[in-house]
Amino acid sequence: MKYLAVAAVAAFLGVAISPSVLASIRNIDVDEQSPNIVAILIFLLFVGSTLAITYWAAKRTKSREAFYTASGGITPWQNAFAIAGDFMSAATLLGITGLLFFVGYDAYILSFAIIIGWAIMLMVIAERFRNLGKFTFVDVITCRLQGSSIRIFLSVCSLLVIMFYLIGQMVGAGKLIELLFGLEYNVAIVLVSVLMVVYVTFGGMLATTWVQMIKAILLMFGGAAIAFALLSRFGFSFDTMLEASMRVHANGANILKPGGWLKQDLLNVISVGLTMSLGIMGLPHILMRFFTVKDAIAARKSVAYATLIMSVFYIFILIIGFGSIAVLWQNPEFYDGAGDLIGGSNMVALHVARILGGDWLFGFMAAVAFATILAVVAGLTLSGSATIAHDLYSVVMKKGNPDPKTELKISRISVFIIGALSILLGLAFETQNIAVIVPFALALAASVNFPMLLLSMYWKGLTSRGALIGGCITSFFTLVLIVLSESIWVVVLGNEFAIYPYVYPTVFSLPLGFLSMWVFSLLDKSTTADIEKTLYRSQFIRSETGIGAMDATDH
Amino acid sequence: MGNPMCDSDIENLASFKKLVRIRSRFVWTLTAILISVLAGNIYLMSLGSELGSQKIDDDSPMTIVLVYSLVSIFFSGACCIFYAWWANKYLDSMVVEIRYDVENVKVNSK
Repeated sequence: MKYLAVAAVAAFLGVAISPSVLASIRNIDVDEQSPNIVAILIFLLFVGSTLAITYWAAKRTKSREAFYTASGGITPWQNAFAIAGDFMSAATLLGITGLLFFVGYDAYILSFAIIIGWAIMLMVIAERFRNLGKFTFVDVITCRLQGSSIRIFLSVCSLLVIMFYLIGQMVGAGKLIELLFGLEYNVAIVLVSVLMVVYVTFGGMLATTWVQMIKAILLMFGGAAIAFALLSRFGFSFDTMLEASMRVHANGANILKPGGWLKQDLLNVISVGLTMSLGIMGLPHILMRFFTVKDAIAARKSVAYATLIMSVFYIFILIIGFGSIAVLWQNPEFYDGAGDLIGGSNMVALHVARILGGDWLFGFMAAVAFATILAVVAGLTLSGSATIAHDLYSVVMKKGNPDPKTELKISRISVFIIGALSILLGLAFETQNIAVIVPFALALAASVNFPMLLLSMYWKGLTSRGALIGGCITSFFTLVLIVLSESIWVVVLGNEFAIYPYVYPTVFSLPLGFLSMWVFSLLDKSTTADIEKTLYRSQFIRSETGIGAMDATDH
Repeated sequence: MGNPMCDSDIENLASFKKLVRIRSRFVWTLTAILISVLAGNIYLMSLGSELGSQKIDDDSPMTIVLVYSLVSIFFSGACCIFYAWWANKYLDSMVVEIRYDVENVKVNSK
């Protein structure tokens, strides 16, 4: 183990200082974002400290319980920062601020809908989830649903969501690092994958949680610094800042009105709102974090604190998004010859950091953006390895009686496989628009995982056959609608008009998910269905009281 | 997953019935309010966009929909704090009571 750890760190350092990496650090002029020494130093500091934490965590990660859930030993505040960190991804920091900058108010639905979703999740899902499960969200749904088929289906769904999310993060990471540090895209992808494999393989959930916590704190600090600096330019008056933004933006006062992105279309707005607020309740890597605390009470506190942390962060995002218009919109230094923002819309927050705090703040935020991606991919990888080793190997193949050491070994091997796969997929999808990938993950989570999770917890009548048939139909339908939407039908396949006119399929696929699972469960008259319905009573008592739930020591 | 007789005993406990009744009433009421808040924001962004586009007053550039979204975030955060406080204060003691009752049932049945 120790030798493996040393080998992995050496591998990272090898990649980091290899001639190909050094050669790939190109000398590009300031307008193209030359490598920033502050960013590199802060990033190396982050990597160094997180590797040290991984070394410390590796000594405590000797069992599968420790690997998957840190043996339930994470405190509510630590878990809250880790949960918030999982959700405050690069897409949030860079994507939402960029969208606010260009389209105005409509982009804020990506923030407030999530916060409302988290509050609902706290009350409806969190405690029951912790009481019913062990390692993964598949455990919770199959708490009373019998047979291997449903577990295999959920594992595949889980892996699909994780892989789509991972591809989005990897491609984003490659592009971002290429831009910020001047590293070649493929080198950046390998670097992220190697670090992610090191964190997860050796440190398991403990290291992943600490990496996520550190990153979340850095991100909050960075967000607060930019928001503070922006407001200070306008005498700490939000109104004055908005007026300045309206004066320079091409859309003028319309940036504060709805319609800039979703065109005031009811179904489009509902679709995005549902995907954001309910999709989070079907994301395996987020749900898995509820098992890292000792009991349902701690899970409740974690989600409550996490919602508060994210609420504050999304206020910063609003200030940064609108404030950046005032300081960046008419600043020619940040536009190329064609009049496009250098680096694209995702660079808004970082350009603003440079304007407000020079190379220091820019370097800090660039390093934080990289750390953000690293932390999120580590969480995704851990969740994927738990699905492979626990849900598929341990429960399906070994019928719930595996050798724990073998399971742990398989978990670690699967981390390497996911790491290798993420490199291949990251390279394969380099030229693809990642906007077409991530929506599928969220839409699948909202349309299949969430309805199944909710029905399994609250409706006695859900059967494994109903869940399986309904899940398959909904997955297929979701995929078809995404292919027919603009992001694939027009952008990728080159057609003139999208057959499906909305951003996300959720407005149709979510009701279909509930309806199909409900109908096919009602039609299921099998003996297995009767057993599953009978088992609901025990499940209900356990979910309400925690009697029979896994304690931290059982983990 | 458990002994059906034992489950039935627990289900019939007055303390368990009270927990289920109070929790579900509280949780579903708050959830309905939160869904209404989300629905309100969706309305102001689509069918009610004319209302949503209006300024909150002549001296401020802020629109009704923007203020509503900010209030939604603060309200959701407040709901979380309130729920966590309420659950810590009331629900947890009820669960402890049920666990105590369950232990007694087990002891008596022996």
